[in-house]
Amino acid sequence: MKKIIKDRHIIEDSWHTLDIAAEQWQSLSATRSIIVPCTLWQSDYMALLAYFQSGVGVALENITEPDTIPALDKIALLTIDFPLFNDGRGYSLARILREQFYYTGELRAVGDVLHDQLFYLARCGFNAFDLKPHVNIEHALLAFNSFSRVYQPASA
Amino acid sequence: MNPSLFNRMYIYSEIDQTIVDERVAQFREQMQRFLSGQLSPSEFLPLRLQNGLYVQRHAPMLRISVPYGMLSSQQVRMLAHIARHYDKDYGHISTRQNIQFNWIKMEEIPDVLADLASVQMHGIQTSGNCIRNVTSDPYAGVIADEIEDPRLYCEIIRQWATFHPEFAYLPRKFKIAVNASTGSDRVAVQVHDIGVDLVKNAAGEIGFRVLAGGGLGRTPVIGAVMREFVPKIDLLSYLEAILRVYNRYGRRDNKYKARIKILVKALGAEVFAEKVEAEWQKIKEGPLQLTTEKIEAINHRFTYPKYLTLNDHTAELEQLSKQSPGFAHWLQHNTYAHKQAGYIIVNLSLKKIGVAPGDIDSAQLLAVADLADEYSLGEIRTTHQQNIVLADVEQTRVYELWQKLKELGLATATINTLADIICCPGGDFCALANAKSIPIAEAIQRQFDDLDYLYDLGDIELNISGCMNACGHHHVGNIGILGVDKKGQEFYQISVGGASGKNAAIGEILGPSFEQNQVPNIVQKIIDVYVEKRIAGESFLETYQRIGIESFKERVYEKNH
Ligand code: SF4
Repeated sequence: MKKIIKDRHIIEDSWHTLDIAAEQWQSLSATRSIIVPCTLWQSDYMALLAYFQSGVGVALENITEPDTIPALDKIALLTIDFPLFNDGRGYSLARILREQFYYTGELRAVGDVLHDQLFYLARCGFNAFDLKPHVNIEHALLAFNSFSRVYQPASA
Repeated sequence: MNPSLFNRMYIYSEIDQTIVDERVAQFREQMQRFLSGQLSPSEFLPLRLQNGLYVQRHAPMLRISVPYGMLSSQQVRMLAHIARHYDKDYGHISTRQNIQFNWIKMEEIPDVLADLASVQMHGIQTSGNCIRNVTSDPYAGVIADEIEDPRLYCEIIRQWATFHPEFAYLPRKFKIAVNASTGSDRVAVQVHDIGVDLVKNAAGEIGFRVLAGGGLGRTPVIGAVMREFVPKIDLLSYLEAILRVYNRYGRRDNKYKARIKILVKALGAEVFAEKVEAEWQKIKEGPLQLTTEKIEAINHRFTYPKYLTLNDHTAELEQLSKQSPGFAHWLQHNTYAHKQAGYIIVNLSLKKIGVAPGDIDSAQLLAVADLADEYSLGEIRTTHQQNIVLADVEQTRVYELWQKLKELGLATATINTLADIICCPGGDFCALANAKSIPIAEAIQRQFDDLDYLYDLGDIELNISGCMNACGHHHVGNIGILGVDKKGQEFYQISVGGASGKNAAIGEILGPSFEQNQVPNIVQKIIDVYVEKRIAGESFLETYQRIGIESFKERVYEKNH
């Protein structure tokens, strides 16, 4: 199983990204923890919630408008994709979800996620990080302690 | 007693110092990972940029932050040390009041940053796609026509912007300037990503008029007013709302279309302002809201100048001027009225012919630090015009100061004249340049080296950039010169009519570009047109505004010149 960082610990990731055609989701085992694209959630969220027993994760792009995501409080995991580590849109989206939509579930950064962005990502409300394969995950844990003091309020 | 305790400087709190020290440690570790191959060059790029480290034509360039242009004599001595110890003995003052060193070895940068941290300095966010150093008026706090000292608000913005977790990867760089003078604008508020003007509303409350979407570069734009009045307590939430809208919707597919000005233009200033307003309403009462106590707490960290009770010495200065025409010229051009009786503001010119505009060597830096201690409460300011200001000089000692400045080559009496050229490092140093800019500045200064003639021409701003990035602000120069590449050859495009003050304007391009050796002559022709057409008392800009560009065009392109 893949290792990720969650709440500043290295854990094995139990979630799976939907890897079949979206409309065939009902062919999957109902006990799996599945992350579905936001478009599928938007159209079928009630059926998805009824079907999967251990909750549903939703994958967002960094341009997703948060007010188009239904039943945010029913979502167990949100991922925000970083197509490139220096595309900063995901930072704003995370803060809006946390501070304006009061999303409290797992918020995971995926994609081009690197050591040196973790401190800022965490401050913007991400609590889980699926790092790029070449990043040394043990060493990356140190990044959360880069600064002991901060100037401005943020999500965390 | 240490005179620096009596000037107006922001003194680091334990939090400020901790953050800067931790930044040094962080960058040392990042540099190690880069050198050992764990970080790819593209991954390392934004990390080094956000510490001010560029890779230039010959060597890395380190840009050191000078928050709103304020330096203590102790800090200037450290800059002298850095110039001497790590560089080729000189530094360069940029148009955004920072100081750049061009010859520092990559491996030594962490040591330089550690030295800087020991005097409350750093290179944080002086480069990269983040919120850059906040600039302000070099006459802040010492002029009469000021709503309030802008540096307090600059510092509040500096703290908010430093390591802002949400805005470290913006679509493009982001520059903020703050002005508080009612009569002038020495910070070019209208050509910044955000321009902040201190204002007083009808009820007599002080707040901010906020502009956004100004900028130079490839597409020069004058900023649009977002809000006529933002109360003091809402300053940061309002700025955060602008940055958030920009961060989310600014273009990222094309670096030339990624500045906020392009977004503001694409949406229209009104629609953009509405989006900002909507975002602001959501966050305005949140934790970013300032209180009088929070503002006061930061204000409290500034030291205050202790002025003596003095009288103005106008008659004595006139007397000295009569005896020494050199002093008279310098006094008239290089000094400015202080709000406090008996004091005067002094400009140190970094525009001596033969020295690149804005360059200063370590001996001069040390001497300036000593002069600041002796004559100006231990405080030094850098200016957008790439000069230095000693803001608190006693009038009775200004003659003596002038004599010392002359020996140091810092008394060139050409402030605000055609010879006070703003000039980027250009092709001699900058890897992005299309053409050299420093030799052009020098050739023009040599062409116009007659002081009486220069004074007769009055205030003329001539700005030179070595490429479209416009670091030399050529668009807003009364005369603007831009280096362009024509089939591998260095050429220069010339514009006239730009302005950077309260009524900022983008200059109009005359036409086809010129070869390097033609430039001084072309400038001469432009000036000739002005001298012929001006009516009594008219400045270059006023004449241009009255007569338009045609006469200038005709003259510079006329056959058989
Ligand atoms: S204007 Fe161009 S050449 Fe001049 S410093 Fe800026 S990037 Fe370099």
